[in-house]
Amino acid sequence: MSFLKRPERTERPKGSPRFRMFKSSNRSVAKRAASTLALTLVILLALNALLCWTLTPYGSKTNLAWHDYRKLSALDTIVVGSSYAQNSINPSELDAVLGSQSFNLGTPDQSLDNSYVALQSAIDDWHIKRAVLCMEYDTLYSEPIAQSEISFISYKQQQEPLSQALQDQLSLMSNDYFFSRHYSLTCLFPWAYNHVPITPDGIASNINDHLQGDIHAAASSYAQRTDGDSWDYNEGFIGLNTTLHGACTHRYDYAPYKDEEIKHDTWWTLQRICDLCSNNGVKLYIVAPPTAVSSLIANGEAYSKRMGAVQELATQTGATFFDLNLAKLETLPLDGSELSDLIHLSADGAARTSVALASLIRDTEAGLDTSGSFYPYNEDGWNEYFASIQYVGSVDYSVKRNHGSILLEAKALTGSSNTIMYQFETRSPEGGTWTLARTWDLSSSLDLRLNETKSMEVRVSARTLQRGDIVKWVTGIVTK
Amino acid sequence: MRVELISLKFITFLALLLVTYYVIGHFAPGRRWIVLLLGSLSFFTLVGGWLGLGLVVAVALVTWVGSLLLYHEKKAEEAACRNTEDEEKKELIAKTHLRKRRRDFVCTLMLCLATLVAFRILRDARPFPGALGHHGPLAALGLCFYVLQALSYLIDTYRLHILPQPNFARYLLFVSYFPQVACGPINRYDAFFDQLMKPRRPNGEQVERALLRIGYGSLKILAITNILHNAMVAVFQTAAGPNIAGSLAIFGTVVYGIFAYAEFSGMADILEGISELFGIRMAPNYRRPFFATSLLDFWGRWNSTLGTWMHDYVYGPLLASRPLRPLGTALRNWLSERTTKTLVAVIPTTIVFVLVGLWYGTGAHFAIWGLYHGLIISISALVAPLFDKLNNLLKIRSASVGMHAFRIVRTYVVVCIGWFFACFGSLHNAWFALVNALTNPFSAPLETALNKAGATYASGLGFTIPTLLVCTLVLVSDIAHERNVDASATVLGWKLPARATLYAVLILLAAYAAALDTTMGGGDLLHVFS
Repeated sequence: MSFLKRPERTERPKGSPRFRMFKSSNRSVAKRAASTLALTLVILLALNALLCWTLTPYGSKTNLAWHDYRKLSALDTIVVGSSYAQNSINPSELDAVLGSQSFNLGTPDQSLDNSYVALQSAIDDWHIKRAVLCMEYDTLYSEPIAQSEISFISYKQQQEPLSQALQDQLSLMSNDYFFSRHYSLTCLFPWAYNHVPITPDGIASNINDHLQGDIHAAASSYAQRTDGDSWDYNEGFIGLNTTLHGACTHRYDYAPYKDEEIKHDTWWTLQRICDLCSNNGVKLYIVAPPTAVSSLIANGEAYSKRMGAVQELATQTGATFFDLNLAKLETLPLDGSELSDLIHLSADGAARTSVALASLIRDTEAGLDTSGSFYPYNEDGWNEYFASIQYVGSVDYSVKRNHGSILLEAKALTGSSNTIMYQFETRSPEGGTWTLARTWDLSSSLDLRLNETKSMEVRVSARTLQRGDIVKWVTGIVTK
Repeated sequence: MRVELISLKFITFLALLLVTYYVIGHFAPGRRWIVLLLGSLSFFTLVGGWLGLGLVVAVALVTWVGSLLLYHEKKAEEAACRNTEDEEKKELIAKTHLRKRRRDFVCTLMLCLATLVAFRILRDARPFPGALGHHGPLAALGLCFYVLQALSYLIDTYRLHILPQPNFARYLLFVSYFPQVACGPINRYDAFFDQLMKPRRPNGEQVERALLRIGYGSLKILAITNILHNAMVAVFQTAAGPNIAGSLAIFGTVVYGIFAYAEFSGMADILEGISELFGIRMAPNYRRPFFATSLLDFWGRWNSTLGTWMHDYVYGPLLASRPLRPLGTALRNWLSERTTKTLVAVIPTTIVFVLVGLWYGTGAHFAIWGLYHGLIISISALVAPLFDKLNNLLKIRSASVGMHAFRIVRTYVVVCIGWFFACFGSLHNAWFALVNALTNPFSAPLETALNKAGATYASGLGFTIPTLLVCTLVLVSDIAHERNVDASATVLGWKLPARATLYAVLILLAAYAAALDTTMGGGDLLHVFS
């Protein structure tokens, strides 16, 4: 037996006439290649434009932000950042306190690279004097999201002169993240990354929105259609009308980057933003908007270490840093009721935050020292901050199996001085009404017996002894 | 840094290289190889940084110096023999020089391995762009495609099959030629070197054909590999364990075949197409493996140049090795010549496939995967005469279409069973998956099981519409090739509007598929160094 027939080394082109395509002169071959290329490009461009028009959501939040930005008649203060910025800072509140003319150019998942682009635009277009960069902790770690990078630029290009649009496209294709990946080529087809649901209804609604031409109505109805969101809109700001009442339908990792180092690229871009503002005489405020208190508790020391580094960078480059998560209660009265979902502020929370930020900016520009308004990034400050949290941020549980019984161990993420009570409920994994397995008690564990059933859905709730009005819970399936 | 084949960075590199290549080629055709060499070295720097460049140069230098030493030893032997008429003395000289050549050969091999280990230590000390991929310990050590190619050159020089190349720069191009280093093939010096030095000038048809092939490969990667990766993770990582549904395990291995074929053959299509643009035709490495009629045939179609390498440099020497020779002599007293040959070949075949398994992946399960292939091939060779007799007895025409189809299906099932060992991450998980698949294949509806495992596109069993379209396209194209119909020629023969429309639609399809899932991306060049 032979292990392998030695395969042919090279597959020579088949010589039979059926494999020969054409035999022509060099000139006709070149003509054929050029005409193929030209016609392919024409068809590709036409189809691409058609798909962009029909599939790219006319009423997206990013389109709305750029559209309204282009319509501005005056601007001296710009807010940039991700959805944290878009949902947290209301330009009207800033204008009321500062007498400014501001606009919120925050967009969903906006990366620091795109914040840079937005700032550059505002500087070039309006020679702004003040910029607010909203930057949450996770921004330091997260990879750029291709979909939001591409949609941000494609919406920006829509009302730009051709030369600027081409420049933006080239910048996107050649940025550090895209250049060595397929995004650098596929970003030429923005509809592929950012499209309405590809159903007859989805496409028809989008075409209808385009034809109507009312972007505000289109944005509102698109949000209703896709996420069921209801919101108020003002100068780029989106105030979410829903309030989180403690529900967490799934287990959520509040500290996915706890053990990671800050990304080099992110840090470099942050420095570029600081330099851009400094070189153009723009007063930059780097702001960490309020988010779930659980995120801070779960990240622990890593949070103060990393954000402390950002504060240091801001100081070195002439920017001002405010971590509104660590604002004292008298500066920003937050009590756990200000979230709309797990991480974003509701309209009410945003109003309080915007007023507090405006006051801090006013005081800073008046030469006042605002450092006393925050808990500092040191051990004492961190301990004081923990002690100040009077409510439960979130709750999670762990499971231990022991000879047929299951021990649920609940853990609330909360302030250090709170006494926590827990409650456990169960039901069938298929749904139905909850059955109380154990009512409110100071014990955080429950021995659960699964008799016949192999699995069960549990709901673990937690609240402080003092405040029964803020209850947080989590649900999950436990199996034998 | 991650570098993908389908990226502006790579296209920019390629475009610059092509322009330089043809401009230089116009004025000084004999210098085109220098452009290729500089381009290939730039490619290594692009993918692996200066350390990557240093590694390929060091490996090439060691094997080049080693091959020259071996050659000079042979020359010295010939000179010494010329000076004497005494046959006994000649034999003694030959023996002495053979010992020296063997010593030099082993020393060169050791030095080559030491170079790889040293660079690996350096790489680990300083994060290295081309970090480890999913290849096994042999590949992880650095026995990647270009190293195997350099070793084949060294061994061929040792065996006096080829004369060593006196010019290091020319040899360096043979080792580092960039279209061959990411996923093969392992080109052989005697068949390939002349092409590198005197590439042909491709005509318009060949260029269009090469571009079509590059597009076809890109489509496979973006619409199949990129999308199915999600289902792979759901089955082989999330769901793996004692409770994996049998249906899910079967589904996973079937899909893995499609996934792996699309990834490897897609990369090969792109890189072989690129090589065609330079007028250089590389050895084919993936030739429709799912149409194989036996496991042996499968390995002649799947990464076939690795199979040839193993045949020539591991299997052959093992078969001729001292321990096996007396075994053959002893068996010949009892058994027929054919049975003896088959039985003696069992040991080297099994060893070769265990090595192939370890080249592909880390862990005992990959060794078992290789062992499984080795044993099946050995057993099928042993029982082949019995089957021939049975076919004659039952009057089954072995050349019939039905029998051919049966063999294809049978080989596919055997290959899929083998993948249980390769895919499930550990022997433990592979065993449970295989047991559940065989004993209880319908324990849970497939879609529910996939959903539970977290496959994003479980509603289409991991297949999106672009994936299904491109899978169909690949199937049709492969069937056409199997039937000796050139699918590319058919497309190239269409009228211009039809051709241009097809190209535009396929580009849009690729873009749409690329955006659906971005985990795998556009052909990662990770495996250049591992």
